[in-house]
Amino acid sequence: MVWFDLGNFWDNPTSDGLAKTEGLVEAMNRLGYAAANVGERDLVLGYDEFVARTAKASFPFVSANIVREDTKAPVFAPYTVLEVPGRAGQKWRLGVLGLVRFNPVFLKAGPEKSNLVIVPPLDAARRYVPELRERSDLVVVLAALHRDDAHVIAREVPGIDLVLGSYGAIYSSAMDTEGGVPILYAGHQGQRVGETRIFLDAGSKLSGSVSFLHTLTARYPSDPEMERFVGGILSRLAGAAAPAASSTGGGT
Amino acid sequence: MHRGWIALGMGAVLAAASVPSGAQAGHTLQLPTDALVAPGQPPSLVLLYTGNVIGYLEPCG
Repeated sequence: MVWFDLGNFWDNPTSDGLAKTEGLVEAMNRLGYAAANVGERDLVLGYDEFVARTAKASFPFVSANIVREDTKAPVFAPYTVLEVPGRAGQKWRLGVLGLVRFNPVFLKAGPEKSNLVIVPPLDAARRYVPELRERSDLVVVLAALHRDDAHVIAREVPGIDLVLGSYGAIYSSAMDTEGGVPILYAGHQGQRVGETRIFLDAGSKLSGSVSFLHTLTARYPSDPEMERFVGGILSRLAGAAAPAASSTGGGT
Repeated sequence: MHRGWIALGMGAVLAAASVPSGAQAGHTLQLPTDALVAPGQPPSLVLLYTGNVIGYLEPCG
């Protein structure tokens, strides 16, 4: 089982929001996330702040099209190759590429006083998918971009096996494909979890997949340990806010 | 009410414990009524994914 986040996981850039973002990263660690894409929202405070707030992440962040303005080099790994154990003890090589929507006016502080910009995701996919294909049994694109753009990338860039997308509140209710490549959207706000079951043949080639979307209603039981962890974060935030609330009430 | 992140840990456990009995292509992504785990053949890999979480730790609906 391999967990991914498709990007834009950050809360607002307030003290409470940053505390929740750090708690979220810890929750992702506990759930065993294997990789996360970087979205525009995640860089609202710039690269250095992102690195500081995600320093405890036990999983890599990927982005192929967030680059330094001066060198045009990606500031995150454009992709990662995960070695995932199969049921029969074999190792599958799972290639994971990150993309975010093109935004020509995006400009954030990068490392070493550089600026970060976003280059077209189609160009980045064309640049990196071929080498990732060579190194992987399965190529998965984590896409924080509109579904129409995901279709273009799946159509124009050979070698992609699966596109997992997130953009606003979009979620998939039925299987959507482009040239045989499944394109699946997982919704937003932690309300849903996408599930794709991958079938590989004896030669480690993709032989099929089937996907589901879990809407996390109350019928899904809570994990007690996670519930305690999240409750602790929210209680601390509520406790920190309480004195300010009472002082505005006045009176002695 | 959406239970969001709190439910994810248990969802992961349930998915890991599943023994699907029949995968099918070209289907709706909805799970069978009242099922938390869809039936189907045991896959080679299971990918689980979230997106646009934007800091939601708590129930949001």
